Amino acid sequence: MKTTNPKLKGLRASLLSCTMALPLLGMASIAHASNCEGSSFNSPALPDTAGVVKVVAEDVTDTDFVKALIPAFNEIYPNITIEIEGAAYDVIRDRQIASLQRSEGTQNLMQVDTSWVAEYDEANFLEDLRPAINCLGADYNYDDFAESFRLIGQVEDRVLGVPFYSYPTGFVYRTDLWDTPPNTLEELVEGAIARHSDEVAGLALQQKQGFVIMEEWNAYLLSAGGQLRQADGTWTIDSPEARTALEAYINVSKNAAPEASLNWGFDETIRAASSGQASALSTYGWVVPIVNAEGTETEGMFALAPFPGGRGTGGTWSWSIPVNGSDKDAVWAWISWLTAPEQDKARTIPGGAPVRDSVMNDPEVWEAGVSKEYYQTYSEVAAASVPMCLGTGCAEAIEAVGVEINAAVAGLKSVDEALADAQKAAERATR
Amino acid sequence: MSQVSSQTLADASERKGLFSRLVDAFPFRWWMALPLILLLGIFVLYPLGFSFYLSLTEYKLTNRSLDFIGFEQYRRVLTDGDFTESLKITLTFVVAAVLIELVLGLVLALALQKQKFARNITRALLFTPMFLAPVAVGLVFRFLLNQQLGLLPNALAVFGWQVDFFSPNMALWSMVLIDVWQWTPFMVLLMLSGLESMPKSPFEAARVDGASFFLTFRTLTLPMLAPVLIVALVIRVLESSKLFEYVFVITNGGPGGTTESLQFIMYQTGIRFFRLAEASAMAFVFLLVLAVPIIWMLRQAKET
Repeated sequence: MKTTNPKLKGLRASLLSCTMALPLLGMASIAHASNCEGSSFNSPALPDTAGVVKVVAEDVTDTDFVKALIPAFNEIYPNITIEIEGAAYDVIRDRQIASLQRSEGTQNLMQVDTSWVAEYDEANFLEDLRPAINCLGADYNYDDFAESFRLIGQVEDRVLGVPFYSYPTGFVYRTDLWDTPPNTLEELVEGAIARHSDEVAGLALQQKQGFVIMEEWNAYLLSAGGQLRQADGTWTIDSPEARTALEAYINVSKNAAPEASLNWGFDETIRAASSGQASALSTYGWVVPIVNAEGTETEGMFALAPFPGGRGTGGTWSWSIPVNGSDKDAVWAWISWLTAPEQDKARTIPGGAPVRDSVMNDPEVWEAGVSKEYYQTYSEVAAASVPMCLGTGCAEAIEAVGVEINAAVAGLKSVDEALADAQKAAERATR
Repeated sequence: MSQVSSQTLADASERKGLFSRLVDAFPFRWWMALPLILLLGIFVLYPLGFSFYLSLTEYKLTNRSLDFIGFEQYRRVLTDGDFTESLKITLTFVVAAVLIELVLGLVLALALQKQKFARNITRALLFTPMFLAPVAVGLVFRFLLNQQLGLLPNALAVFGWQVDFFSPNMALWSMVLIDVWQWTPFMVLLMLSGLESMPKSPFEAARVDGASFFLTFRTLTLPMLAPVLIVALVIRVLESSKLFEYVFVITNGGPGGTTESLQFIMYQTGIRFFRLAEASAMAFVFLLVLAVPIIWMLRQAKET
């Protein structure tokens, strides 16, 4: 995909020039032919590693930022070819499942979403990356990944995915319409309704059935003090907190959301916001650079705040290596290079979603990237974020609960009925 | 030596006899059909048989357990409210879409048959929708019917009609509308070829006798077109019962499950939630449900 982002062009040029000297440096520092103890592939990767890395990646801006880094990677690893195929979120998992069923998969690198990790682990689909990470040494600094993101890719002591980009939910609001962001769920509902008009919706909601509505409504649930699933695996959906959250969400949907938006997904909410038709969004933090982008009607108007109540839905995409993949040395070379602090910084500056604490607190990133305030808030949002659901059966449970929540918002079920049915559906998914 | 040779010849003769007997056991036409039977066996019967076997197990994509559990999956499917609700949604869609396509297709085919001017251009334009991929059609309509951006809601708003095409009451009918737009041309194509292949003399005789259009249509056109109509119905019933793409790209089954077609929940159960055995059981139940009207229609076709 051809990119027109000037920051990307600049980033590519500077990385290319900077990395002219890196092959020599790399060879000197990785002179020892290492297959570090416990790792089933070379770690650190050797500069002469060869292979083809194939991945189906979500069609989002972060994938563009990653693609822009490939030339710099090939300066150090000239014998490794990176093939990134963009795809819509809905089909990524299907493609992965098809690949994982084969004796040798068609993808040897995978981007794994938050709720898929446990299921893939149960099926022994993914390599444990812990030994390879341990071999990278202190410079890689695995603990620098924000804890809430890092834990998503871990099952017990094993690391099944290294954080790639994050999507914690925050409150994205127009500073010309909101003097201060809301601090509580009540303030959010009242503020959105007060700002709602025929021209500008108080809040653009992604209410589409299934996981789409869940990513948003779960933030309301957290804000009301509830949680979908407890640490011991029990579901707590039919609860007073969930009732408060659902009533608040329905109130916003009826009185502050754009007309006939019951079917809206993420794309529609972004379109509404960037065309000036919404005063706020309860969405992923990384949306801010998109709705503030040059050329949009809302250039520079939006800011990020923690979701009212402090906690939002947490999530990351992680880089993982399937057990049935080929060229694992090459794949690990790519993952370990791309997620190292320097490259993570390079991916974040043009607008990528940060995953490392050091990057979010780096004055150079504040200066060259979006803004100091944005990264500091993002760091706060990330730290307080809570994954919607971890453990086996989560993907199905989220879909099933999302049907019930959407039914309540559509007026097909009462709040009590929907929550009772959602509880049963989640329990059935994990029976 | 000569004894050995004689024995070998006798064996060969016996073997030839066995082969000849095998050849003779089946008529020649069966041998000619053998390649096709083999292909059907490999590409249709084996997957069907394996799928049925899976439906009798606990197979999941994540555990691959082939432990036999009998008809337990069928019991689960038939007592699952979601499945029966999806069956109702799918059958409603099939009946509504196919009936509208049938009537509209017949009217358009009769009109096109009479058309003299710009016949080829009209037909080419009319047939275009059915050459598009259903996913692409779904994506186009997702935005075309969008209340905020869509042409149709905005055009209706000019006349004071506010229509939310994806509301709980309308979403399934919007799917019907999209299917009718895409597949009515297929009905037209079949019926037009049927109309144009009819003998002219009965119609000329009817005209000479002064029969009205409706009398001619009822007593001549419709009976003579019946075999084509039934084939068209069978094809469209089978095709429209595979409602998936529009649901997948437009509503994801919503709002509130009102557009969850059987194909969609089979996909969710088998691929998204890994329960391939349960999805196979759903597919076989649906196959049985669908087989009844299809066999009835094919018998009607044979009688006509």
